[in-house]
Amino acid sequence: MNAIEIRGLTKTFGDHVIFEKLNLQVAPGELVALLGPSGCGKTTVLRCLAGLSKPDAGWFNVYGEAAIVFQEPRLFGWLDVRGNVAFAARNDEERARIDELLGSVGLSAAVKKLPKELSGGMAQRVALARALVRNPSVLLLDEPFAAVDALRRYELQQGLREIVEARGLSALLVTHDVDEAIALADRVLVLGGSPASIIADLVEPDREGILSALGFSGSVLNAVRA
Amino acid sequence: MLRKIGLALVVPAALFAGWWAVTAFGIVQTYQLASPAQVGNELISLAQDGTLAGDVSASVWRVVVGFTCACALACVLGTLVGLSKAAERAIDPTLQAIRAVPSLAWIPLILLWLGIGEAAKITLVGIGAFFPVYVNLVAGIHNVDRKLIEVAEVFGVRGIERARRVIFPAASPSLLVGMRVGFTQAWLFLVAAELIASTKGLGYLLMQGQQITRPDQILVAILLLALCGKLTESGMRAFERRSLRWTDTLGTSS
Repeated sequence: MNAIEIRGLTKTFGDHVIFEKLNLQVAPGELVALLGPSGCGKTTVLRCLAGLSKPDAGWFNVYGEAAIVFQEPRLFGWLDVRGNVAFAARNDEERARIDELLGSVGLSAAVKKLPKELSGGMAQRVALARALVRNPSVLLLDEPFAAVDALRRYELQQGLREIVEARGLSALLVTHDVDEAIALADRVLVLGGSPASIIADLVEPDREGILSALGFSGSVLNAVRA
Repeated sequence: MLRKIGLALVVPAALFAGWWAVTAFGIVQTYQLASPAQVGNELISLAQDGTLAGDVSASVWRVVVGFTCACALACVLGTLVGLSKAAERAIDPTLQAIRAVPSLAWIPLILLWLGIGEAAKITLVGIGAFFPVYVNLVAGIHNVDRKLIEVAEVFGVRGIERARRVIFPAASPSLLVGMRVGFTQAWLFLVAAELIASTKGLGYLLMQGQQITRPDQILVAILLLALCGKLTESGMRAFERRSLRWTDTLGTSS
């Protein structure tokens, strides 16, 4: 049974068809990147899965508890780091997990800090910890590191990879960053066209594979090879 | 800190010096503008015979009761209107029409209905305090970032829980501004109420001063009103700053 299963999903905004009859699977324990240019509808796929957007047609299922990490941290400014993570906790068992979780994302020293005192990378780690409180089996990640500088991004990507592996999570990562897709994903789905569809399904690809799937040719590929 | 207070005192000190000069050199006659010394003496004599304490406490009581009741009502209606489109359509247009009525226009009607007792004054104070609180709370709720609402949504936090844990805290900066303005407005409406019909209070002191041609008494009343208004405003501002330490805005940066 797949962790995420999407069949024939269609979404339109007014007259504009974002994607039509989209199919997608994520196997248990798999980290799949959904890669495509900005505005192609990848975030909308994720929003449908998270229940924030209603598809016009089609069927999807997420097996087990899913949690989403947004592009922005979306922290509650009036709560400290611990309070923000505790927001997602439903019971004492989940509350008891908070400190350990904050430790695993490297924020033990910042539990009492307010969001306004955090750097972008720290804030996003709080958001990740918040997403993990309910012990989800599926993570939905919407370009979670897009707003973080390159060095921090590398660090965060590695942290995420470790957490996903240690917890045996399945994840669908939406990104427009080819390198991020290569660094994190077991499999890369390239989304393109209008209405968008999956134009390539690549297992542990390299840049060349992804770029040619995205339609780049000639000089760009030569530059990558060199 | 001392420097800040010092800076705030520059203008009052200059005004005081000017006041003293125009009365001391006879530029303005004292039956029109009492001298600082006369006002000081009047203040002391009013304080000694107990009228001052009576007037101040009567006014403060009316303001506090009127403001508290108005605030409670504004919070209930503001929440309804802020959260429910149906309630907004049903209630808001009427309230906006009532808001457009100038404060003084209420006085005849309130006197007719409630007489000249405490209820009339407190009602008028309440009308003054209600709208700033209501309007700012509704605006605050409407301006809550949809992105935060979505976080509540994905964690299944809905209904009253969502209002309590997300919407109210997010709207609180706006609500607190409304409360501060509402409190100040309560003082304005109080004087309107007391000028017209009362036997106690700072507005009465003012009115009586005019009737018996006592500029010193008028000035005492005006100075006390300025002081009360300023103290209320400073108190509310301090409360606001303490409650809103979490916000990352120009107003809260030190």
